Order: sequence, then C-alpha cells, then structure tokens
Amino acid sequence: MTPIRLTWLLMALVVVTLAISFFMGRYPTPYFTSPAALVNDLMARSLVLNLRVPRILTAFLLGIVLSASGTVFQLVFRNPLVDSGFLGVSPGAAFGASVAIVLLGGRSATIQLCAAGFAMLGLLGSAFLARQVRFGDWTLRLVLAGIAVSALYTSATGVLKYVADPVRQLPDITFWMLGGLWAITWRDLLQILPVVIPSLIVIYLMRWRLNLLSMRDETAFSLGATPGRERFVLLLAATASAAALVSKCGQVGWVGLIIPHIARRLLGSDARHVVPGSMLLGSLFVLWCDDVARTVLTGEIPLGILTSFVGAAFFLTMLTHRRVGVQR
Amino acid sequence: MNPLRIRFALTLCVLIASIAAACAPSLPPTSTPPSLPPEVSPTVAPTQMPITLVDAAGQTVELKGPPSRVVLVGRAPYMGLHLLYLFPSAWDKLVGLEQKGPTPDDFLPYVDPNWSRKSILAAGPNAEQIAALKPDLVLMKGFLVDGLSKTLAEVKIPSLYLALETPEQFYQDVTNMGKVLGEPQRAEQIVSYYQERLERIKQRTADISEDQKPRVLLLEYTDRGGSLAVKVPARSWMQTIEVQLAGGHPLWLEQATQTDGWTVTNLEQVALWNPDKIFLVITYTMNARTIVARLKEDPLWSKLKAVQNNELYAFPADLYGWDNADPRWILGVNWLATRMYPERFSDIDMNAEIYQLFGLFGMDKAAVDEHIMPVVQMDVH
Repeated sequence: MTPIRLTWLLMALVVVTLAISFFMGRYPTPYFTSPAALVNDLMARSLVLNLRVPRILTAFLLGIVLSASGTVFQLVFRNPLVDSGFLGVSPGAAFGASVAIVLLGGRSATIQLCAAGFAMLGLLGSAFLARQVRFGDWTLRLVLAGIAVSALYTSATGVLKYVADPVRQLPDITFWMLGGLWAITWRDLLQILPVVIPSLIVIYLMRWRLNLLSMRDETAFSLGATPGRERFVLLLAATASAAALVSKCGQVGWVGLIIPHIARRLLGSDARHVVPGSMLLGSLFVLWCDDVARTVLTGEIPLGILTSFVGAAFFLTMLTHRRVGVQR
Repeated sequence: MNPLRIRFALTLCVLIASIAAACAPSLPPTSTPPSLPPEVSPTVAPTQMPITLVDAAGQTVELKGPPSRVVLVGRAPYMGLHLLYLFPSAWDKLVGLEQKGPTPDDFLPYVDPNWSRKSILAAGPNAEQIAALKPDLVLMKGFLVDGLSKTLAEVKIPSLYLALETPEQFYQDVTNMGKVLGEPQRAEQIVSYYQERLERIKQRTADISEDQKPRVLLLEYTDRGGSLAVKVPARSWMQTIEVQLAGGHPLWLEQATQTDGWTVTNLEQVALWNPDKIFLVITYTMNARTIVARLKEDPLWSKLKAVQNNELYAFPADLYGWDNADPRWILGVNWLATRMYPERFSDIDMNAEIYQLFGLFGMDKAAVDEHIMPVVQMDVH
C-alpha cells in the first residue's frame, strides 16, 4: 500500500475511533453510553458534552503533538531514541508540578502554570547552555545541554519528593507524573489551542524540510537549508506544543518515542509521509489508551501507565523480532 | 497469525492484566457489626432551603436541600469518613467512597451494619465514574481534587471540601456537615464534646509558664524505602498542635516547616534537644513494642534523658493512630496530657474516654470491648 493510501486509511481509523470514543464511558452503565441515554438522560448528555468531548479531543491532540514532536526530535537529532522530553521539557514540567504541589498549595491552575513555565524554561536553558559550549556542532551541543538540564531538573524533583509529605503530597506528585486527562474541560482545551495549533501547522508545513535537516549541517546547507534557524523553529514548535499539553495532562510517556518508529516502519523514512502518519498513529494510540483508562475500572488508570506499558511491550517485541536488526 | 503479533498480543495481555489487578479495589471486609444504639438515631432537623455555606477551600457551596446520596473521595479518605460517621443520618446517605489502601476502611465495618453495601471506587475516580453513583453531594479532601471539583461543577454535581488538619478546621468541617445533613444540633454536640475536653486541659495547665512545660519531642519512626528514619511533624500539623494543646513545649518547632509535612531529622539533633519526653508515632507496619524495647537498649538512644527516665512512649493507636486529624485526635491530646502531667490529670480515665469517643460513632461498651479495646496500644513505653 502506498504511503498516501495508508495515511487516508489511518485518517479513517481516527475518525471511527473518535466516534466510538464518544460513546465509551462509565455512565449511565459501564463501558457504553447508548444514543438513547444521550437523548433521555440529562446527566449523560451533560457528561458527554461537557467532559467527555473535550477530554477525547484533548487525547486526540495529545497523541498528535507527542508523536509529531517525537518525530521532529528524532529527525533533527538524528537519534531514534529521543523524544520531546529530551531538552528538559518533561523533567521541567515534572519539577514545576512538584514545586506547585509541595510549595505553592497544589491548586490545579498553579500546577499547570508551573509545569508549563518550567518546561519552557527547560528548552530555553538548554538553548542557552548550548551556546556556551565551545565544541561540537549545534546538534551535539544541544544534546549535551539537554542532558544536563534534564539531570538538574530530575535531581531537583528528587529533592522535592524527598521533602514532600508522604501522606498528603507525595501521592499527588506521583499521580500527576503518571499523567491523565481526568480534569480536562472545554476551558483547558481552549487554553492550549493557541499554542498547539500554530505549532502543529509549523511542523506540518515544514515536514519536508526535516528530510534536509536530518542531514549533516554542511549537506543541509549545500541543499539550500539554513540548518541552525530551521531546526530551532521546529524544535521550538515541538517543545512549546508538548509543554502546553504536558502542563495539562501530566507526563504521558513513550508516545513520542515509539510512535515515530511505527510510522517509519509503515510509511518509510520520508518525513513528508512520516510526520502526518506519526500524528495519526499517535492520536489513535492515545485515544485507545484513554478509552481504557477511563472506562475499564471504577477509578482512573493513569494514562501514562497505560501508554508506557503498551509502548514498552511494543518496543520489546520489536527488539526481539527476527526481522528487526541493525545494518553495519 | 504471525509470531510478531502473537508475541505483542501476549505481552499486552499480561501487562493489562497486571494493571487491572493492581488497580482493582478489593471488597470491604465483612463482619457482624453491633446494632445501632438508640442515642445515635438520626434526628434530622428541618433545614432551610437552599443550604449555603463556605467550605474548607473557601468556596461557597449551595445545595438545593440535604443530600440523599453522598460520595467521598480524595486523600486520606478515612479522616472524612470517620467525621461523616459521627452523624447518624449520614450512614445511609453515603453511597460510595474512594478506596486508597488495601481496604476501604478498617474501622467502619464495626460501626455500620450496611457498610458492605457501599460502592467502592478505585483510586483516582473521575467525574463520570463518580456520577455513575448518582450523588447529589461529593465530599473531598486533597490537593489534586480541585481538578475533580472543576469537572464535577461542569455536570452540576456539588462538591464540598473537608480540611481536617487542625482543630479549628475540624470544627468548621463538623459544623458544615451538620448544616448539610440537617443536623446542626448534632454538630454542636460534637464540637462541645471536643471543646469541653480541651478546656479542661487548658484550665489545669493555665498556671504553667512556658519554661516550666515539659520539653517534648514527637517523632515519626518509619522504615519507608527500607531504611529507618525519624521525622518531626510540620508546625501547623495536628501532631504538633496536639502536643501544644496538651501543655507541652514542642522542641522541633525551630526546625519544622510550616506545611511541608514530616521533616527528617537525625539522632545527633535529637541528642542536642535531649527532650524530657519522647513520643514516637510508629508506622503501622512495625511493632511498637519491639521498636520501643529496641531503642531503650540502643547504646545511643539509651543516653537520652527521656529514655533514662522511662519517658519514651509509642504514640497510642487503635485501628488508626490518635495523632492524625481523625476524630480520635482528642484521645491523643487527652493521653498526652496524662503523660506530661500525671499528677494534674490523675482523674482522667483513658478507658472511659475511649468508650465515650466511640459512643459518638454509635458503638456501645460491648462493641468497643470486642473491636476496639483489644487493639488499643496505649501504654507502650
């Protein structure tokens, strides 16, 4: 099947999944909300319109953003083992949320603000540090700076977890870090759209440039690209959109890491096809996981646990499969 | 099917089964609870409609009338649950609760004959999962619950915060519950019960100046993460307040933070304080008698003044600790006063205090003797 046909098929699957997801839930009966209930039961209608729809749309966006930014990171850094957390974004968000929970009272608005702020600070800190490094090309310097900033954030989060009250605060930090969409309303969705939509447009429109930017600086430059500037624009778009969503949803792992791999296996290595394919696959993956997270039990299963489990299972399967290997 | 898919499917099944097993709540323990004594039969007063009040989070809550279906969620749910069970009319109104630990509650099966009928929500329920129980009021406590409160508001389910961290917050929560349940007199009765006991201690220790008060250290002794640690409570926490209310001088106030929970300290600092009395809050996974005996024999601890004077105590507990902001906190204050000033409080019979407190839950003497007294650890020193 050609990449374009496959992309259309994925799009159709996403539409079907979205439609089914609107009818999945715990009210009025577990697992499925009948269309009749939506007509007759005021509470069911209110739940679906006010909570389920914005939640599902956020899950859809979360999958798109995490997998798109993961694809951008993997291509720009020419490293298949990186994702949007690489430049201190996820560790920054985790640190911000921990600060809000331990030191600032832990209201959800404070948590979101701190998470977004420290996530962006992670990116800016990495970029600033990269400028101070006196060796290697821009990519190498950014990688090293990202590792350092992430390590700083991780250790600072460790300190906060250590001093956090084990009964009152530590479970909240842990729960936030496991990720989830349980608190999403229309307002939350509307708050992230101004960052997410322009970022996704930038990534989508510049997807064909990723083929050039994944080459060495000299090669990319000789082919007409301005690698430093274009990479920064793409990384900024990828990081800003991921930070906006992570601030609302907590850490949802493995989506940005594993989905680009699957997209490349299905659609080849051309970024023109991989970016939209990755976005669609990511949204499918997160939608399925969120359907399970909110439907199966009487309490939420943290979304990050599900995405990590499924992602890790897929990764293990890929590692042990005969047909996957490294060409030397 | 190709081997890749089979392997992926198998791995996925195992992982999902593990998650489900880990997250699914276990059923509450069943027991033969005592019958409800007549003195705690619900006496609901006519309530003014609508009910408007300010909850512990400072939000104005408006209810059309007393709720008929109440759900309780959030952190440390036992604190809110036990407070709720001080109001007899709430027993039937509670339809569901969030389960945080291995059981929904260790105590209430002995109080409520219908306890096993309550619906149990797994940890971290969302608004839709709560709505499935059709509540007309959700009681909540915790940091992250304001996200939940926001989503509940979207579907017009009112929520009420409980604070339960200090005596003042406890009184406010009791008063609010009285208003909501249409039992304001019961709320007054409960508040009076607590205030009378505190007033007794206050009067008998009023002539003691600050420098005459016993220098007290209250420590949490835990083995979290496999390593032993001693910690002092936050300045604003019930444990610190209990020591102050009982007439003690908490030595750790200079080191304690305002809100950050238990602060780890070390034996060097404990030796520097060299307190007159040490009270150990020992985590429920450890045997209090063994710990206290071991510390008395420890070469370092045995040099402390409190240990040498046989003033090292395990903080009392029954099924739950008396140091927490559970309704039991008043027992903790009373007990501390009897240990700090035995001559001034020699007339206080702690066993009688236990019967009276559990009487507020509707437990008669026989029920307390059967379920509570055997597990009370009050004189471990």
